[in-house]
Amino acid sequence: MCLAIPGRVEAITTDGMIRVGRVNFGGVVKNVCLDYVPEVVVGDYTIVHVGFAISKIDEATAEQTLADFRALGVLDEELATEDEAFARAAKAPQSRCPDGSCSNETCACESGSANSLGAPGPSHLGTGDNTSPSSANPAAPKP
Amino acid sequence: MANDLKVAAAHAVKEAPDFSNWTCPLPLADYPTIVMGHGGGGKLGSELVEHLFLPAFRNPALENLGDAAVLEAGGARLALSTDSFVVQPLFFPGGSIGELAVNGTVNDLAVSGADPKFLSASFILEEGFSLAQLAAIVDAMAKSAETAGVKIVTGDTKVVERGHGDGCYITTAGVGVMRAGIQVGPHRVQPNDAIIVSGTMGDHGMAIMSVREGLEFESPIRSDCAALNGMIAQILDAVGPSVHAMRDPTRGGLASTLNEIAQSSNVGIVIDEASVHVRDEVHSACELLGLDPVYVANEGKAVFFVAPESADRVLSILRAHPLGKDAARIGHATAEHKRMLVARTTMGANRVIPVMIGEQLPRIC
Amino acid sequence: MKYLTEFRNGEIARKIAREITQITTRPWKIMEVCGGQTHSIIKNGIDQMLPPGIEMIHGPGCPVCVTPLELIDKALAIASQPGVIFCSFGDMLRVPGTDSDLFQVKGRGGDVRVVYSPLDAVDLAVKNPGKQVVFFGVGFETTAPANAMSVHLAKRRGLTNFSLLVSHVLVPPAIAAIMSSPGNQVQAFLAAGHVCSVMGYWQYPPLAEKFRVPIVVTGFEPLDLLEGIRRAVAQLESGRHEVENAYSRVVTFDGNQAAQKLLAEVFEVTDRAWRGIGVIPKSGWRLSADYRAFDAEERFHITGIHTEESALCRAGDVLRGAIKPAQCAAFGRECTPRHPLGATMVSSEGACAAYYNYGRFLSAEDLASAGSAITGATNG
Repeated sequence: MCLAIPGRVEAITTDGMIRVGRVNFGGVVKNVCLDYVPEVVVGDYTIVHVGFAISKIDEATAEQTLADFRALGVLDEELATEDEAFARAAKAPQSRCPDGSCSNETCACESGSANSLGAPGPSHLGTGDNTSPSSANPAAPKP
Repeated sequence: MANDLKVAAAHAVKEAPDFSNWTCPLPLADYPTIVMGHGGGGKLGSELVEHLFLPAFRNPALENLGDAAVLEAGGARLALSTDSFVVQPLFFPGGSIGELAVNGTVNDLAVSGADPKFLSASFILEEGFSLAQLAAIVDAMAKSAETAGVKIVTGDTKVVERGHGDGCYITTAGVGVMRAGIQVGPHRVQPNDAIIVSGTMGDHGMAIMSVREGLEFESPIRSDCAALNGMIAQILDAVGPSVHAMRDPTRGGLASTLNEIAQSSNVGIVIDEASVHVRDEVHSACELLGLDPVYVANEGKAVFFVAPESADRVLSILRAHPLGKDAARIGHATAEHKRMLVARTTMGANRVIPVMIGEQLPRIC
Repeated sequence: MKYLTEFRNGEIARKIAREITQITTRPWKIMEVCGGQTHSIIKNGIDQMLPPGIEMIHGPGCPVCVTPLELIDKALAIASQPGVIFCSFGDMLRVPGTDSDLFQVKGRGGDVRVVYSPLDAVDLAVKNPGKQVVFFGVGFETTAPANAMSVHLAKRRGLTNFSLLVSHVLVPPAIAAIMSSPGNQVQAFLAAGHVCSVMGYWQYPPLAEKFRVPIVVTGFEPLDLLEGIRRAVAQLESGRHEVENAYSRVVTFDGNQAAQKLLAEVFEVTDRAWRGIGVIPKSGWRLSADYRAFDAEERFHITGIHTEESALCRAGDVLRGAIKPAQCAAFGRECTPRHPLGATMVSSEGACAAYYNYGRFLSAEDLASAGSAITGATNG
């Protein structure tokens, strides 16, 4: 019930009783009650829960948060000792295929096969993230 | 006279089945009436099969519980399959109950290793149903049959009073000829077999849900409903004996199919979630509705379990076919954690994907 | 999906997990309050990524799970009545009452409907003037604004056939109750991000001070959860007990003023019984005097309810974080989502359901070693 997801407001109207926004959630468009976010205008992103927008997303803050995340550990990697560098290399993937048998050239995961209906290419399950594959195992605790 | 009818009815309905004999420790007795979950393709539905239908109809051809029954008759090896279609709404982006009715049965025969030949089509129509809609459905069936290369050779029509049916229900049964030298079945998968899906997951179920929930899309999700027998024939022609099992992941989606195979073949299954392709709109719609794409129905996709040395060949044949453009290798069978489906998440952690309990999405097909 | 997918980046997740590992010198127990957070942790395997000393204790943040059994039984009684359209969110359907559940009531002919939003229930009331439409208004502060608006609109439209069966629960009193209970082991909290998007986090500094616990407002995506955990651990390691906001793109200190205004008009604070836990004073909302006419309990006067919980069910212990679901003897045996003994096994936010649905009946070692098959070993 805390299921609330972000969407972009594309149009705002009223049904006579409440302020209604047409909100786009990654390609799905739904009508949402905007009465609780009077400050939201077309183009803003908002968090929606059971048909109601309950908060505006502060995009500058969101971008800053992501930038902070990306910066995490960069310094750490630059200062890594030889042991850690070796351990990291040992965990680097040879291929993404679950049984390790295929090379990157033929691996389905790497193929950029176009969607035949002309829509954007298919995303991978659970995320549209196409970052390079990395080790499955989190780093062991430092001794 | 009315009294006689009542007495007859009372005699016809046996007492509730004696559940104490059933081997399952949590029998149907919990739900002495049919609930929607029984039609979902998950655990509730399979309990109904195991504890009611199987014991009553008991015979070896049935117990295989494949998508079609493989039979010997008059020296020929035939496959027989049947399916009922109760989808709501009747028309949806990408198709209608008509295409589903033909392609669904064609596909069940094809994944059993048969060349589909003949279909029967029975209609249960509700009084007041629009003839124009019926004509559209029948036309869709004719076109689908032609594309699939099958003939609809017999059928039946019944009408029920207004309010006793949802416009139109269709049941099709199909007969196909088993291809020589092909032995596929849910029990034939071996550890190390590669698992390949022919395209994106979740399209059909979410196309239906989008209509039901009144979801609009920038680019509407279309059902993937299609006849797969041509594509499957190409695979079998090239690497037939390497194909150990095939399934079309309809109700209950990819996860249900993989769990069923894991049970039937007594193997573990391992998949890499990042390699299962889901269209962006399908992903967003699932997110919005709190659904997991691995459990969402498909009507134009197949899952192949093949000997690892043939996997690359299967992939390239699929990708060259219009219906298999987004084919992907998603995992393999293993001797570990038998009967269990384990997925590596995009986080790099592992999760077990369990058998679905009831129905995630009702009346999808 | 923008502002969702970026916060699921596996590479960054592992980076944050490494940070946590590097700063952890002692074992710590952290409670995530919201059931949605529990599900995200279990589904994404966040707990598998943490260093061994950090234990996530799952809190009672599942409003469906804590709805009193008596109210469930009343809901079943109302839904069974002819002339009633009973509406609820999907996961209430299989919550076990004493004898039955809404799913079975539907199977027996009751008009039970799953809706996405309480406004859908108001719509049904407008379209079905001859029926009584009842909406099961269950939830934390996140859902209360939606329920408030539905009742407010029903009043504005002068509907006489719409009512709300209310069971709202509040997070800050729950935190206080948990910290006050004997045997409590929780040392830090991840506060529920979407509850705070409505209420702000002005209620938490007194709690952090009184109980000397760090409280970090945290979101739901893997990166948000890991960051919330990281900040909680950083505070614990340095002996601080402050309130921090790790979900600042959505949550502000004051929260949503427009929502709080209508909430104050429609609801008033009351004592509430939490299923499996007991009565927590001033921990719930009921309809205020101005809106009491829309209260389904008053409209329907159900009597003769005799409640009885399953003797085997340990949902209360799970909700208080005393045990993990897999430690309950009935878990996966007598109690499964197919055959639940308690609400925690069916709710979309219930901890037992999370553990079951994401396969946590394998031990941690077995689950981790299943990964050896995935990363390329061809042992078969």
